[in-house]
Amino acid sequence: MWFDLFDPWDTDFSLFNQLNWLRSNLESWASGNRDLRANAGCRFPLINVGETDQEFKVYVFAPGMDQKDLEVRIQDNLLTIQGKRETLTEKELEQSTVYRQERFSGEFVRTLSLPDSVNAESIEARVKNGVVTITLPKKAALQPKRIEVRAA
Amino acid sequence: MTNLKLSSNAKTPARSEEAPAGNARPVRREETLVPPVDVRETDEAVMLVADMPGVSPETLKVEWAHERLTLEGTISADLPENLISVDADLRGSHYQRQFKLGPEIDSEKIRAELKNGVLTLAMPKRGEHRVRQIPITT
Repeated sequence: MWFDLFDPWDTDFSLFNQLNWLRSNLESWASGNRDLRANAGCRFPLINVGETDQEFKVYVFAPGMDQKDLEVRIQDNLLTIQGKRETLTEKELEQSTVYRQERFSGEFVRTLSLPDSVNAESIEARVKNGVVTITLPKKAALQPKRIEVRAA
Repeated sequence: MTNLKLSSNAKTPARSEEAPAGNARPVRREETLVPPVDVRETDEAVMLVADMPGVSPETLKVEWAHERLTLEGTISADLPENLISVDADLRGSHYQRQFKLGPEIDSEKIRAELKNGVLTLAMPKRGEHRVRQIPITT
């Protein structure tokens, strides 16, 4: 029946899931310019984005990873960070009792849409202490220009 | 829009809760970050691994006192002067987490290693507390 879809006792539509649904929708309403591919609910890696007049700065918090585990791609204004992190080896699992496993393990993809197009040729990514800093220069035409005021 | 709360610790104190004088914008109270951990136990030791990206050996503090283990760290990053935040998943720059551990840990022999923002602690157990396999005879 159609109302089965909204059965409040249905575990698939539990309060938890409803809150999750609400949260993800609130996020999309709050940032309506997000690209379809930009997954808002993703918790690894955490990403902070900032901008100056000249460039965008993207900080990817990817602990325990170095260059070879990470792939950074740009397509127009879509920045994709893809990679894989294995936290416990099979040998470690075999030789020990695991009490907590809170750290993310597995493959991940995160895409974010930058507000403007960037100069794809001169993007730079550096990793230090588990934080990847990606510097994306804005296109010259989009940078604010200072207009000199001259005496008449 | 939110403030990018990733401050260089040289300029701002780790947990400034008051707005700096003369700043018209209200400053959001900074969140203390709780690092996710993996904990496992082998025959010889308890192993703890914590994700603390952005923390360097200079800004990390691991303390053992009264059977409590405290992890503390501050994210150190060089941010451009005029950076405006666009979007922030991480809204804090200070990590803190505390654990209780029994007297079986030989605190003198705890080893800590920080690599790529991941802290690994090896906490050996005292000899008398180690797991012994008991052979079953028929």
